[in-house]
Amino acid sequence: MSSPAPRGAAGPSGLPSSTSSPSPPAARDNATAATPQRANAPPGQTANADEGPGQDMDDGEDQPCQSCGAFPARFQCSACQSVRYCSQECQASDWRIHYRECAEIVAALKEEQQDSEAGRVQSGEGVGLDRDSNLRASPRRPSEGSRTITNGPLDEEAENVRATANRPRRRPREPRRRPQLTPEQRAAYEEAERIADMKFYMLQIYKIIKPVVVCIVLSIVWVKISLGGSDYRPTQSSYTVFKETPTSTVSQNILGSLANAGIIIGQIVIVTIIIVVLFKRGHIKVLIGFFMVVVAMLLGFMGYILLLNLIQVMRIPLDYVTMVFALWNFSVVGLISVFWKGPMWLQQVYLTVMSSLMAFSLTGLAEWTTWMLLALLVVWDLIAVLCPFGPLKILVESSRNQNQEVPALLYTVNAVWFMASPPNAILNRDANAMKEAADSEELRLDEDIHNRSAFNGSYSRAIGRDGGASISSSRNSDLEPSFNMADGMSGRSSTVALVPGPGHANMEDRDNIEMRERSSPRDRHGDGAGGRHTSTRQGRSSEQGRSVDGDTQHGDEDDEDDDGGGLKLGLGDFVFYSVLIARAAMFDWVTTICCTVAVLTGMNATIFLLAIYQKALPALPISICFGMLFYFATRFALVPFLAVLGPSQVFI
Amino acid sequence: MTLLTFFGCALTAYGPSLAIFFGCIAPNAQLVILMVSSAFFWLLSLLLASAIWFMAKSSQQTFTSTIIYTVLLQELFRWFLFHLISRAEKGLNMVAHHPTSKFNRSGYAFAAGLGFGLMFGIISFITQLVQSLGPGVLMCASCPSISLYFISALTTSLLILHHCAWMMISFTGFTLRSYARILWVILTHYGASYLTLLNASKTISYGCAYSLAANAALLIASVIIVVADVRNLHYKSS
Repeated sequence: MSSPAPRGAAGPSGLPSSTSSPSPPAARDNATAATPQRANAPPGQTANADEGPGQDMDDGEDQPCQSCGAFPARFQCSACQSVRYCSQECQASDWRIHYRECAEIVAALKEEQQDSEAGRVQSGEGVGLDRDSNLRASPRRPSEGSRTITNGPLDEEAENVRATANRPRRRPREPRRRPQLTPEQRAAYEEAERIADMKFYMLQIYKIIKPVVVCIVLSIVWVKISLGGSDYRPTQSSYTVFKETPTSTVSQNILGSLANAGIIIGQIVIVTIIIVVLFKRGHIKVLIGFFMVVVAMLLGFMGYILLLNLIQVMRIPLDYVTMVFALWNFSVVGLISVFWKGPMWLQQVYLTVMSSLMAFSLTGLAEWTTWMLLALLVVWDLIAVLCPFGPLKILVESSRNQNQEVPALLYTVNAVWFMASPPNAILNRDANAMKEAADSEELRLDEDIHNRSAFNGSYSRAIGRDGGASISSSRNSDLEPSFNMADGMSGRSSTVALVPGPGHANMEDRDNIEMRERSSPRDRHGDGAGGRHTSTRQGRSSEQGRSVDGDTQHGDEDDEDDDGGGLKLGLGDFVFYSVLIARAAMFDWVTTICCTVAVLTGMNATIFLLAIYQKALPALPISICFGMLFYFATRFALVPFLAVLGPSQVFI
Repeated sequence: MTLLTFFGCALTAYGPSLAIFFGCIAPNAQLVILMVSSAFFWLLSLLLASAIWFMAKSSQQTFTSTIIYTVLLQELFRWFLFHLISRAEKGLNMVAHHPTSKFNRSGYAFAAGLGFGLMFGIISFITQLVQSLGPGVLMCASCPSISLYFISALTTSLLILHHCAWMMISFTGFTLRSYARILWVILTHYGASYLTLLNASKTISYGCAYSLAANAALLIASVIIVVADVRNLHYKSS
């Protein structure tokens, strides 16, 4: 994650349209990083203040990682720039120790800078301040306006922070010279890159496992509740032509379910293609409209069905007025938080709940149809993502070429997932980070209003993610900005204080460029693909709207990742994993657990493959194949086996 | 009684291992991934075992023969897992918090063991656990005054910890090519499994008590070996 930031440094040039051009990435990064630290730091500390200035060390080849002592320590604390780490994790673990000293250093830096500024202006501190604020006044207005719209509550804090934070942030950075790299150093860099990559993937898996597990667990819960004697189980869709009955023969079942699944898949394919076409033509608003309708239907309608189930099974007395009121609030809040803005956790919660609702609605399909559908989806997923003319692939590519900001919306749907996972140790920093993000945004504004205006649109939507935006967008300059934003956030929250060493300013351009080149194919695939796919999926769903059949988009998925951006797993994957497991949950607990483990392992395997191939991959095939294999093996061999062992209390 | 039984048994069976999981494993992404993979391996071994059981129609009710190949398969997969992990070890170490620590392998072994153990615990006990929600109670055959669910919960809890210890011992054994350790693991695994046959024994009264006590003793012995190994590692290296 950190490695990408450097790429950002060169970002603006690479970005054709200025949608979110990340132009002053360095400043932004610093700002974002700096604020939380300051906020966290206890005011009274006086530790190594003198260490602060003059600590600009350059390449870090000579300085070991502060936390583990490893070389090369290529990332440095963005706020004080005095310590280096080999990875974000190291920084995170060291933060507990470092934050005080960091605050001191930053304070010292600020002082130093004020002094110099004062000197320059010749009228001392007070005037310096004034001048500063004047200068800034005009640019700031617009930004503030936008901020109010976008993130009201954070405003004040941001304001406060700004008072203290402005200066150091704006400290002019002198470009640093990079020494020529020797081959060994280069090798060391590459090695470090690899390690960083691996760590990144590992963390991504970890972050992704959590929402997937939550989604799966929710679907299991819904299924178990609805099996508890409810009259409101989801039913077969009216699209299906064949109804399974206990008396139908195997061949009838197979043919009939094949027909059913074929119809559903056909819908998915058509919707996907429509979405690709719409996207290519730039009818983004239509797409967004779709998605909103779908999400509203899903939350409202499926929420209603689920609520009926809960009420009946749990025997909850509830009148209609209350229920309608609750349901209305539930879905409207969901719409707002998914499509406009909302706390990150809320978005995540909604996305998880939406996926599980979708999966729940698909449990209405008959058993054979479900399996057939999953099998066909695997095939479709492979085709759509990997074939040269696969629709999802095209979507990815066109998104890359068009470099549009709007798809970002689609993306965000997807990207929110990941970002959500708050970095372990740093939870409390998050809030600050957010604030900071806002703040930094503003700063950036000051500096370049132009960009800003372009940026605003997305900004408002993505507020929480802004900070990330800076990082990630800068990182992958050719990707969609807002998308990145979302992503970045995840990275960002975990890295709050870190700015990758090279990212630091423009100083390390050369390096950045190299990196960028190296990673760009991946980015493309990754980001683009991921986002797109997701969006596609989403789109599909929207079309189909009500559930049952359809929509689900199939998954395409891809998980992808770009260095900084984060892995993306389409919502469709969540849905179909959950469908498989919900189906297993309708049979037995042991099968449920086995399928869950199989699906998670398949997902891990996919992500490892992703790390190897570094391009968009379909996430469904491995997981679903494992899941189906385990389902049948468990059902026909393991469950009877355990049924014999269990009552005799034999443990093997 | 039903909910009480359920929660009592669930926490007895999974409490210790879940505490270990959330305390030691969950904060570390690497170990979590390792654990999921090892759970998958255990599941594979059990699926193979159940396939054999499924085909061996005539011996489906003779547990003594069932245990033979089930345990053997588990040990085999433990060995596979060891090979997999040692192949990936370089990469794993690179991403570890302390890339050069000698205790990394012990950590991996522990996480893998917990994966085996938790999967074992869930698969073998969850059906009974869910049944314990029902209105009735089954009594343990050898100790008619205690419910079957509770005895099973205790056994599960012990065996999960056993799996952690076994995995660590056998990793040391495989690394050092120490056949004594490998043999110990295999023997105690068989021992622990055969001891659980006492639970349902109708001829030996208090069979479940013997089984639990003996299992606990085996566990303690294994833990002593683990501790000794880790200390050795520590002294040798420092």
